[in-house]
Amino acid sequence: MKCQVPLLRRLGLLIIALALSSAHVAAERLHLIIPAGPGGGLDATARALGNAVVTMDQQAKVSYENRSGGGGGKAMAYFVSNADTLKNTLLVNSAPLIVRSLQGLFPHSYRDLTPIAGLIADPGVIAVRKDSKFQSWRDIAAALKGGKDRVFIAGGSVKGSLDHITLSLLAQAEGIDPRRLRYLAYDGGAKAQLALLSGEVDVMVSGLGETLAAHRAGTVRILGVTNDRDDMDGMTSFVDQGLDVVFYNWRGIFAPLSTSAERREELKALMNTVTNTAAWQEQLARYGWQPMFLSGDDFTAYLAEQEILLTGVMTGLGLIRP
Amino acid sequence: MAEGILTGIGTALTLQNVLWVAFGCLAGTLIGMMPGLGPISAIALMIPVSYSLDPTGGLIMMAGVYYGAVFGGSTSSILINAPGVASTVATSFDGYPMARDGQAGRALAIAAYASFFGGTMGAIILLIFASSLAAIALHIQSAEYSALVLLAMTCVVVFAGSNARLPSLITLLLGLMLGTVGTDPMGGAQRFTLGLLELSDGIPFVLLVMATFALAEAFRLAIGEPQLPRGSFSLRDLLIPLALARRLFRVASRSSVLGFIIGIMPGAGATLASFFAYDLEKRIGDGSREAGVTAPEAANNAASTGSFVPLLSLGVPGSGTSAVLLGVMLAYGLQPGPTLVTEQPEIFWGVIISMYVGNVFLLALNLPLIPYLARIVSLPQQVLIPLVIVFALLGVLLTTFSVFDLALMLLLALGATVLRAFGFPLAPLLLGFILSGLFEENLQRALMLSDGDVAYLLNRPIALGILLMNAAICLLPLWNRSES
Repeated sequence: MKCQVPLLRRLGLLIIALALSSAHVAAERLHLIIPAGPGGGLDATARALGNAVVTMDQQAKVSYENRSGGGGGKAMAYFVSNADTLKNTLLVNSAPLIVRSLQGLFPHSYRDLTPIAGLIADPGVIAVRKDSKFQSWRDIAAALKGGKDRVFIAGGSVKGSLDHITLSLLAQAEGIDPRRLRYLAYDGGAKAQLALLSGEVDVMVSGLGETLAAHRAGTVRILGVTNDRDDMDGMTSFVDQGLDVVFYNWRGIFAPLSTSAERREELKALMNTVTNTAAWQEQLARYGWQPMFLSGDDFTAYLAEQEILLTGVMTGLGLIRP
Repeated sequence: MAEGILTGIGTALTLQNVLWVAFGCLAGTLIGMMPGLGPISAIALMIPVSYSLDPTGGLIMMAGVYYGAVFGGSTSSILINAPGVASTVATSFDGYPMARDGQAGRALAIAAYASFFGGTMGAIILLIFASSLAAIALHIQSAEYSALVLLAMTCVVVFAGSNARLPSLITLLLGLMLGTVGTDPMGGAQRFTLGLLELSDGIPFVLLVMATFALAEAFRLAIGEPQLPRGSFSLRDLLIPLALARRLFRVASRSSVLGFIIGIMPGAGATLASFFAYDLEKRIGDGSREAGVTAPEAANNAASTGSFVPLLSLGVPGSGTSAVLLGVMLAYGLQPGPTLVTEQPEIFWGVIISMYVGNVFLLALNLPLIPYLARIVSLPQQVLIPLVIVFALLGVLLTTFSVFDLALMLLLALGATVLRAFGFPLAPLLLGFILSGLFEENLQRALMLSDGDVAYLLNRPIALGILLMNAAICLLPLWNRSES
């Protein structure tokens, strides 16, 4: 009864939580906290990582805990306030961590964690229908600047989300005031894509991972990607189109703040080894993810850089006061 | 196409795949019966297992998990008034009273037959019209969606019966108000969260449903006169008298077609379908409880099948569950979309046929279990009530791990108990809560698309048609009055 294992683990966790016990089994194991419900991208990342760890070391035990709510804030609050008692527990997190802490949605930031490694980076894309009047990002930018056409742009989440921010970064680089964009929020990238296909909107901003399948199937056309690579299915990056916009939704692994330097090195080394295994590569290919391996101080520096970039664009959007 | 279907049957009926679908059904039913765990969680939890299979086997097993979880959800909704997912809320309206009156076995059997019927009808419609139906999904835009949601709300108030209309309207509005707590679906602003992090994603659905249905019911039982459990629980419950079966057949047929059509539309397809089907039966049917269980069960299963239409034909998932399934398909390197039929016909047809096989297995596996499940309601109340309370608390704790949520749930349960004591129906509250986000989001988008011009809704034929139906339904009570 393989299927019951995750459930039993959940029940087991509950019992542990109820007993307020901090004692974990002495055997080498990892416990991954996922600040989202089952089925999403963060959940998939954690489980893919866990699979790779177990494939590499059959003795290893990896368990998962989905703590959704508060836009990831509940998991953060739990992780930060129990930092001293959480042994072998890691938090999976992604770019919205920085966005939401800048917005003040929750009081914590990445500084309350020990960054271990960045694992995956998903760039943003601008996509249109295959028969769209827009042939390139240039056409869209011209229409947006002209102000005559009402161009609606669909995104998979509320204003101030990564989709909206990706679009705003592009607008800013074109010298367009991002507050004047007609951004329509949908409940998830899939519904935004359906709105694009149904003709309700003409342009969509989304993540590459969510859109690549439709692009390959030929139902939508990706006009630009916010990465700096050029080896992809006939898509061009915005950098190649002369716009200095590189932006990723990264996903990474964090340890509690109190983690010792020695343990941090161990975890860094573990992530380094795992991400070089065939098992992890297979998981990446499976989901169409792009690897981004940054560990330790490099990862911390990247986060600091992202915070500055996001502060700029979010101030421009009026989401945070300067 | 006939060739494709034969290939599909050949694929789905290999011994190995049949075993996987049976396993999927069983696991799905067990997970679906757990409080707070619906089809989405069931599929997500089974993903690791599916990796060890080939694509067809894995997808076929997942179809079994999906149907199993939908059926498992109906079980808790009938037996202890605790629907774990929105699409089985309507089942509890008549199913739970049947269980209280000693007909738990009968209600579960009807639910199982109706699910089977709805799922089968859905699979047949999908088989015939699979690719041509995709166009419907593309005609439903924000304007149509908001008109449709409004229609669901109008129906629940108008069809409530002349004495219950005002209380229904009041609880519906209360539900809409509760639904506005959290993050504004367009602007992203925080509303009515009292600055609490716990409320920034809104009140969780499972929490509200456990509070207003399961807990409020447990409190009512605890306050009221103790009742002796009634009813027989034997395999005989599974046999439905021929006359009744004939009546229910008609109910299930129209509910399935209705459910399938609504299910094609992306979003809350299965939930809307079950409410519409229930309302329709109360209005034009014989109004019996058996029909009240049949209609939503047939509709939500047909709708679940319908939600595969946009996934298989456009590559865009129409519901949360099919989104998770899309993830599974992509992980196998499959590309759902218009090209799937032509490039990988064995998988396309295999999946559709396996839906049918999944339904047959679900029925075969679950019927024998029914008399045992039904015994839950025959437990003495001093055992049953604490059991329901633990079930409800566990359902919330398992999904959120939050003590704040438990406190909020108890508070809402107290409020719900008071409302019930004064004769306010709680179903409209739950409906208002489920639909408020959908309604607001779609209406806001429609208004943004038209720069705030309400006439936009009237300029679109489908939206206008739905709005006219709305108006007609609002006028119905007046007509009935003049008649009598």
